[in-house]
Formats: sequence, C-alpha cells, structure tokens
Amino acid sequence: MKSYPLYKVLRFLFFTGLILAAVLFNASKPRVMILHSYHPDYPWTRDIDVSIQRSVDRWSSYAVTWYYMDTKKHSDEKWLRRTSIGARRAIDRFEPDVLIAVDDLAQKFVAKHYVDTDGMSIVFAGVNGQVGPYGYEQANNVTGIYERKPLTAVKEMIQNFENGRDPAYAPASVLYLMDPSPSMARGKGFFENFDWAPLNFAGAVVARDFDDWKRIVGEAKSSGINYLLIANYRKLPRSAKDPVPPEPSEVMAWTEANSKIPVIGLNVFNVEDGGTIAVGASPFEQGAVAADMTEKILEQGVQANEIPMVINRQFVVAINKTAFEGRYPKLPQIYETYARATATYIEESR
Amino acid sequence: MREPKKVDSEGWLKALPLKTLAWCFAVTIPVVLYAYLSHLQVDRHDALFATIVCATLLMWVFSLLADFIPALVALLAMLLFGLAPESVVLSGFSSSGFLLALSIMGLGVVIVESGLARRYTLILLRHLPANTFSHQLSVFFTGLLFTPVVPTINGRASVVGPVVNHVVEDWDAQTKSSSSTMLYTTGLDSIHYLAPCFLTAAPANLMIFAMLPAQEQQAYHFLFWTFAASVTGLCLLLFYFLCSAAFFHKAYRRVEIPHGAIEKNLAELGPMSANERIALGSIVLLAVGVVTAPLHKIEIHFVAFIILCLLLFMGSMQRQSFIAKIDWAFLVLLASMIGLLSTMNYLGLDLLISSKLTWLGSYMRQSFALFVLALAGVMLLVRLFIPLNQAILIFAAALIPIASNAGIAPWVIGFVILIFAETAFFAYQSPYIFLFREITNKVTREERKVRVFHGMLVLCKLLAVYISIPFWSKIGVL
Repeated sequence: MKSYPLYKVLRFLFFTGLILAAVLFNASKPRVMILHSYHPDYPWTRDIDVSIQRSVDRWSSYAVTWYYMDTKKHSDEKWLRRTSIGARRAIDRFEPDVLIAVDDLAQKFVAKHYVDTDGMSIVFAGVNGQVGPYGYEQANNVTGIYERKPLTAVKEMIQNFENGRDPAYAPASVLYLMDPSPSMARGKGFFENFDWAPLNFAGAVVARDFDDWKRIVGEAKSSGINYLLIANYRKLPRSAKDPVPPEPSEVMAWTEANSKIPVIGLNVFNVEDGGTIAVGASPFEQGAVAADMTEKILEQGVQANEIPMVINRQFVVAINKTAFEGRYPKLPQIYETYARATATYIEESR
Repeated sequence: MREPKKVDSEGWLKALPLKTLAWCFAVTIPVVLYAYLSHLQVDRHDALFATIVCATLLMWVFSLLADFIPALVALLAMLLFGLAPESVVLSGFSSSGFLLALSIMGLGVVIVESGLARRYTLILLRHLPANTFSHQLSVFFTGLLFTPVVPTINGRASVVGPVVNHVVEDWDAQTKSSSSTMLYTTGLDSIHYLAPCFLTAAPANLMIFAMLPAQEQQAYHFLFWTFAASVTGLCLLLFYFLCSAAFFHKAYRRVEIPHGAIEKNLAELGPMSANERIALGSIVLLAVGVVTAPLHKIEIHFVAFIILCLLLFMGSMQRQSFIAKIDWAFLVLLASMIGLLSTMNYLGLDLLISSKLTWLGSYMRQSFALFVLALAGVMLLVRLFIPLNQAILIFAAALIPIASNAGIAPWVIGFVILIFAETAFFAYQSPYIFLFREITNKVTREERKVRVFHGMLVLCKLLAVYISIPFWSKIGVL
C-alpha cells in the first residue's frame, strides 16, 4: 500500500480540523433574521435598522441577515405573492432562531406561517393593529412591540400651540388626512377611539388621490378645521387616471405651501419630506426593544411568550426651523432642545 | 485558463487612423460632458462620476484597451476624486462574488491541469456507441458536465476541443465530410450554450450575480440559480437537438471506432494521480458543500473558498499556477465593476436613474414578453459591435436597478441578458470562438452552416424564455 509522508498527513489533519471547527462554530451560533415589510431606504425602516444595528454590532457571535419585502413601493397582489414566497424561501434557507418581523405586512404574509414552529421565535415590531389575526396571542413563540401613534404627545403639542387662545372660542378642531393604503386604514380606529378632549376630533378622512388630497387641504380651514394631521402619502395615486404616486417631497411641498392651517406630521420622516413639524413613534425604540427581546431569548433562554408584548412609549419630535419660525405658533423651548438632541432639528431652508 | 493568445484586446477597431480617432473621442467626449454637466449645475460628484463612466464606456466600446484596464482606472479616478469612501469604491474586492469567482477559477485550473479532464475524455471515447449521434451527445454532455465547475468558456474549450479532435480524427473520410461541421458546432455550443443556467459557468454569470441586490444574491446561490433556470435550460436542450436533427440530418450515420489507440493513451496515463484524486474530491466536496448548506450553515462562497484553500494548502495548486492560470484580469474587472456600482449607489444615482426611467420599469412589468423581445433584438445588434463582457456589464448596470425598482426580479433580467449576449455569429464577437477554432483547426467545417444554425438557436432561446415565464411566476421569481 502506498504510504504518504507524515507531513502531508499532518497538513491534511490541520486543515480538516480547522474546517470542522468552523463548521461546528457556524452550525451552533445563534441566527437572527430581520424581515422588513418595506425597503431599506424608507426612512422608518432605515431608522429601525439603525437601532437594530447598534445591537448587531455587539452580536459578533450571531449570524444576522436582513430581508426587505419592499411592499411600500409595490403592493399589488402579484408583488405581494412574489415577495412573500421570496421571504419564506429566505427564512427556510437561513433557519433563524429568532425572526424579527417589522410592520404589519411582514406578519400578515410571512411571519404568521411560523407561529409555534420548533426552534424559531418571532419578535414583531411596528404592528399598528392587533396581533390576533396572525395567531400571535395564543402562540408560544411570539413576543414584540406594537407601534401606536403618539397621540397624547400630539394632543399636548396642539394644546401648547393653543396656549393663550381665548377659551371663549370653540375648542381647536383636528382632522386626520390619510392616503388610501391598508396600513393607514388599520390605524384609523385608534384615532377615533382616542380621548382628544379638550380638543375636537373632526374625524379621519381618506384622500382617494392627490387631486382629492389637494381639495381636502384647500377646504380644511373653511370647514372649521384648525390643525391637519398627516402620516403618510406614499400610496396616494396622482389622480383618478394616473395611479403612480407623486414623490413624497412633492406632496409635502404642495401641502405646506397651500395649507392655511398648521400641518402636523405623525412620522418623523414627514419633515424629511418637506414638512414643518412632526411627532412620531420612535423607530429607534421599535428596533431597540425588538433587539433586546431577541437577546433575552438567545442569551437567557427565555421562551418568547414569557416576554410580555409591549406598546411603544417613546416618540421623536422633528422640526424644520426655517419653515416653523413665523408661520406656526410658538412652542416651549423643550421641543427644540429635544429635536436637537435626536438630530431631527433641521436648520437649513428648504 | 487565461486567454491563450491575442484573443482580442484590439477588437473590431484595428486600423490605426480609426483607433486614433477613437482615442480622440475617448479623451474629448468626457471633458465636454463634464463641462456640460457643470454648466447645468449638476452636483460635482455626480458630474465627475458620469464623466468617469463615460470615459470607461468609450474605451470599452472602441476596445481601446484590455477590458479590465479602463475599469481599474475608473476605480483609481473615483478614489482620487473622493467620490465615495475607500470601503465603498473597493468593496468589490471583499464581495462574495469576487471570492466565489476566485475560488471556482482556482478549482477549474486544478481540474484542467490535473489531467482529470483528459482521462474522462478517453474513458468516454472507449465506451461510445459507434454512430455520430452518440458522438454528438457525448461531446455536448462533456461540455455540459464541465460547465458548472470550469468557470470560463475558454477553460471548457480546452477540455472539449481535444475531444472533438479525437472523435473526428478516428472517423472515416465519408463521415468526416458529412458530419464534422455538426460535431464542430456541437463542441462549440456545448461550452457556452447552457452557460447562463449555472452560476459558476462563466465570468459573466458571476458578474451578474455580483450586481444583484444583497438579498437576491443570498437567494440565487448555486442551486436556486440552476433551479430557476431549469425550465429554460431543458427547453434549450430539447430545441437544440431538434434543430440539430433537422439542420444536420445528413450528418447522422454509423462509424467505426479504433479502440486500440484509445486503450494505448489510457495506458500511458496510468493510474489516477494524487492531483486527479484531489481535483475529483474537490468537485465532490463542492457538490456536498452546496447540498448540505442547510446543515453546516456556511455560505456557499465560503464553501468554494474552503476548497480553493484546501487545494493550495495540500499543494495541488502550485504558486506558479495560482499566479499564471487564474484569470486575474477578469477578477480585477469584476471587483472594479462592483466598486463602480457601489459608488453609483452611494451617490444615489441608481435611484435617480430609476426615477428617470420609471416608464421602462413599468414597461418591464406590464409587457415582459415584449420587453424580452426588444432586449433580445437590441442585445443581438449591440453584440455586433461590443464585446461580450462589456455588453453584459453595460446592460446589466442599466437594467438591474430599474428592474429592482420596478418590482421585477433582477435575476430574470440578468439571466435574459446572459442568454442573448452569449449569441455570436462571428469569431470576433466572442474570444472563445478563436480559441476553439484554433484547438480544432484540423476539423473541417462550413462556417456559413454554423452561422445559420446559430441563427436558428436565437429563436430557440426566445421560445425557451417565453416558455419559462409561467414557471417563473409559479415559483415566485417573476
């Protein structure tokens, strides 16, 4: 029988040992997949990623991957089917120990299929509605953080605007203007059930398209509305004949230029789009809480359903200084200070 | 695996006055473009990037230099002008596509150099039934067999070319005269016709892979690429033999095979050498590594890299082969292109282009079948003037971001580009044709017949893509 030199055998054993150790290391390290409903450039998604990334930087021994379903830019039935298949295929291939599913569509089309799957926990974030339809309430592998619009903070801001107004006048009236997207519709009930007193909530109206949006904004003041609340307009068709939405910056620029009453955004990115002021749920909190829950599951061995589902508590204020000053009523100094602290105080002119 | 010799860094523009004129264009047009963009008050970084890309494209289109040189100079310019951080501009060198390409090329070198391919050829010839159809099948499937593991068409040409030579050499005069064009065509097609169906079959495939968004790259690793391409591949295969049967029907006949010479050659090779065993073991290891990825959880490009390191570590690939046989020029081109695209994305130009060309994205979505037809037409036309890799690069860089933004799987667009870009009627269009001709120079053939047959294959390709559309919809690719 042919004999091999000893050094060759040792060389082979060295390499084989190295690879086996690497295989064992890889096969045993915790695996986390972050599944986003939207695309990475969408400001909300981007900021959630920023806060998750802070934890990922510490997770040197975890395998982490991202999947973006891109349902903000495309939401037709064909796309939803395709992106859901792609996401599920990615999950099945990656086999994460923890699936962080962000925003409603990720739950609806993908994550709910992994309820009570052995060896996989689901941490949801950014859910506007209820998690019952996804089967999360009874599941033993799900926890997460809801995303509720910070209406208390919005109400307080409007009250601050109203400070000094003659109480003999009728209370300030607030209108919530929405685009026709399903995620907006899901949150509508939350606005209607909120205790707006002493303000008057004039209701939530859906603009069919940008033309309809312009009409509602233009008529708001004459309809007795004092404040307009807006959250999103990315699913707003340009017109009845043109389904392609205008650029967000175009919608915001038109709205700011033509609204005769203050417009308050309910997402921080409204100001990035060209708005004047916004109070939004903190995407950083959504990401940080989801990452903390993930760490708890992986490092302390806690079962997901033993971690209580939580509602977001933090919000972020964004102000565009140039647009704000002189056009809007004064606010206490703390708003500016807070916005500066969260790097959401924009000083350059639009 | 390197280009053998003078396989065209000069291109179709050889006459000196024309070349001088082309250089004049390459120098002046970018300067004029920069001045114009500055006049329009376009952002300085965007204007510089457009100027650099314009200069690179001109050098490619006119084939003024070997293809990797303009790309490398573009990287240099982007670094010197500070268009993006070094980590972005040089990201191609640390990308998974680069690592995969390097590793598979290393494996390809060992397979060809170890003599494993030669042994396989002889064993094949020994067992072939004595008719031209079985010879055609054997030649075609030899090319196909080496397609996923020898990642350059030139590399496969050096495997399949000698098989064609051996087979034709042993034919009688009558068979040579009636069938050698058919076998030559089959040999040539076997090394490139189904290349788009395997990720690792050609540098261009790896280039497309490297241009895909990160999550698409994760999805289209090895097996899923082949799975998604499977219906197209099977149709292409079926149509190929149907067309061949119709076009070369007079070439099919019985022949006598002299087994003595084959046995003698096999005896001269002796038992399998250690390098052959390691080459074979590496192919098996790669296959096992890919199939068992869900168990070991190691990314596929790392599996390939492990194999390259194993080959180097065990001394199966010597330093000299590592330096001389791996196509470093292509690797530099690949890394430079990834860096160029990363810089484009960093500057936000991909979104700008996509937003300006939303009509094209909508067209892709609403009339994909017509888009494929238009793309095929334009691709065939452009390929008459622009070399293979450059044409693929330009089309992929322009269309993949638009597809991605329009909600079309970028892979489908890349795959269709690959299918039609690989069509060549003349040798100058694809360097591997020169090499294959050179290796099989003793095999007589009628070039006109080869061209007509390749014209028929264009229709087969179109048909195969159209048949695949429902399959792509079914598996969630389209």
